[in-house]
Amino acid sequence: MKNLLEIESLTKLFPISGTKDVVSAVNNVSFEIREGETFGLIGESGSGKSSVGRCLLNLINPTKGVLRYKGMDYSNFGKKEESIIRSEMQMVFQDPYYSLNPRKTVWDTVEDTLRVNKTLPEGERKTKVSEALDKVQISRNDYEKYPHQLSAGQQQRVGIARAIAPNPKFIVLDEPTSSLDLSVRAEIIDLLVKLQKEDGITYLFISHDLSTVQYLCHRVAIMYLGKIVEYGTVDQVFRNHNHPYSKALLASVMKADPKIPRSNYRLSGEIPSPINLPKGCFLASRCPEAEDKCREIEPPLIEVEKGQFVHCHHAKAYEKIENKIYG
Amino acid sequence: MNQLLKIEDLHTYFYVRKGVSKIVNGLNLSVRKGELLGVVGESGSGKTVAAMSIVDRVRTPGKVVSGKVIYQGTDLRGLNESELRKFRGKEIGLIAANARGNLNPLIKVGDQIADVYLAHNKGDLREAKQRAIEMLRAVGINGAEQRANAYPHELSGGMAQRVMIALALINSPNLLIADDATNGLDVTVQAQIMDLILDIVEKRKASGIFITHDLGVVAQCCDEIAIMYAGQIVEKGPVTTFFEEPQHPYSQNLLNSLPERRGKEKKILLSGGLPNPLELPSGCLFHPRCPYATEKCRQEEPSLVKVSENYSVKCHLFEGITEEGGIVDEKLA
Repeated sequence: MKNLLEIESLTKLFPISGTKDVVSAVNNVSFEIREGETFGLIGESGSGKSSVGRCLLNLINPTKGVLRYKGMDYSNFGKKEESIIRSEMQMVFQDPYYSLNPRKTVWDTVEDTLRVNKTLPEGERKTKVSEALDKVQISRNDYEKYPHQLSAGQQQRVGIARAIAPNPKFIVLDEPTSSLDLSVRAEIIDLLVKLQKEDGITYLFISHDLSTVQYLCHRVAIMYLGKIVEYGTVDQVFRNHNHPYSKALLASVMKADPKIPRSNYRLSGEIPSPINLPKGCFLASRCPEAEDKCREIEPPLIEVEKGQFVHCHHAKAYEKIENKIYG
Repeated sequence: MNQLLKIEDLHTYFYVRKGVSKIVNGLNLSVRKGELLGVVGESGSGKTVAAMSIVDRVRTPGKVVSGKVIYQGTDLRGLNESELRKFRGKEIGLIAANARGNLNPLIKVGDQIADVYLAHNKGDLREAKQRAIEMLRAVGINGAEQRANAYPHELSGGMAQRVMIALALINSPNLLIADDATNGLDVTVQAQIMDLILDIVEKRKASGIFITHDLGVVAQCCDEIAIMYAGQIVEKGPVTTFFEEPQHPYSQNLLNSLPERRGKEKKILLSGGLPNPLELPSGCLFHPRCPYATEKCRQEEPSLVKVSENYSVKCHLFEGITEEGGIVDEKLA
């Protein structure tokens, strides 16, 4: 599979006004998203996963790093790049209610994303809107409704319709199901899978719901304090993870099956503040396997299996790679 | 094991401008000593209102209209406010969802815990504060002395949740009601909090009711499960039996919605949502969505039928069946 997006050493710092401090939301992150796949980005709140998603769409400007879409460098965002990125990349947000304009009807919400394209004749635009709404199974009776008249599941369908209307190649799904009830969540996941099959859309799925990620994604990266600590295919990361943080994260998930015993692998304490990042490995203060080395030296990225990378001093390489490239 | 809490036919209604919103509709539930019961329902199924009804904390326009809440032989519904206070916080501890919203933002957390201690124990403020600090330490807060002087906004979500737990446990209650105690927390923090609650419940030999929408929490932590739909319990039994073979069509649908249960062959999910509490359907409250609904379901409300010794289902399909009640499963699969 070809790479659709390449992210190299992406860093995003947010300065805190009035001080010299910065919040390092994203810290030297590199990965690639292949065409047609669903790439999962998991991590706890504050791990920087949403910031990565927003950087990819240039909703916020990356502080450092190179972003490539189909080989085109769009890190220095200009008019030319903007016209491509804005039409081919879209986003679906977490809270469907607050991400819809309460004063716009379902139809207008979806149509407005297409109005940006001034060359699109009105007739075609209208066809596209109804196509998008058909795809997400919003019935004609609901076209003139306002967001508050819809159920949470329908609201998220409108959010998805808005994203797919311009026929994007790539959609960032920022926790699209986390505010939904279980059965509604399943419906939305089914819809996303269907859309990917029909239109070959590539997804970046940002979530902290690990069972959904396991079900939906092809490859997964686990983030902690703005860094990717481990990434690989779903099977590699979920079945054969190496990083202590991955172990703790996956051990914490309570599986809906009483026959699976709870693992007691735990980290101590809470995620440190991203303002003054610790020296060495970011996890060292909480890690049950930490040694002196971990507190001093930043761990390299080690390929433990083909396509599976781990950011840890304790990981064993199956083939060591250059530290410079993947940071 | 003998019974600690028994709820019989509890109804809680909200009198709003549009009419009567029926949130809890004949709830029947019992908890034995030392048992951990998980109550699962989707948002709007009346879980929180049910919990609040137990300790009579339903606010206007809501009102508990009928039913019994029998705690160790005493019907709490027959007590007046001052008598009830002897139970609240002392016998029954409540961990509310949304810890930050339920802590007083103007009072230091240590003082809030001390207040709860003093409400049920004699002693001076200094002793109470000392107790509060010990409790904060017990729930795993580092630097408890300093943290006791913090205001709620100075704490992280996980920390605030720990304070809520300390608050609920300071008087060693026999029954702990945890209303979505880990909702909105990160998974690693959630695991720590659940470890803590389970540890304390076990040490103090208390019982617990975990109200949640997370089937994982129930599967991993509870002995019994009760599924709630539109303010009623539709299925109740041991966790292991339930997860092997859920009986009620609604429970089956709920379980089939889990990503890990869906697998390759996608199971068909029922459409629609909970009924409008202002206009509840006749008969079985689930009949408008049920694939097996018959005329009888539309007219008559089913009762909670015992299908085996400790397993009950509220569905007409199971009436007359005493053992081996797996008929629904085959049709829905």
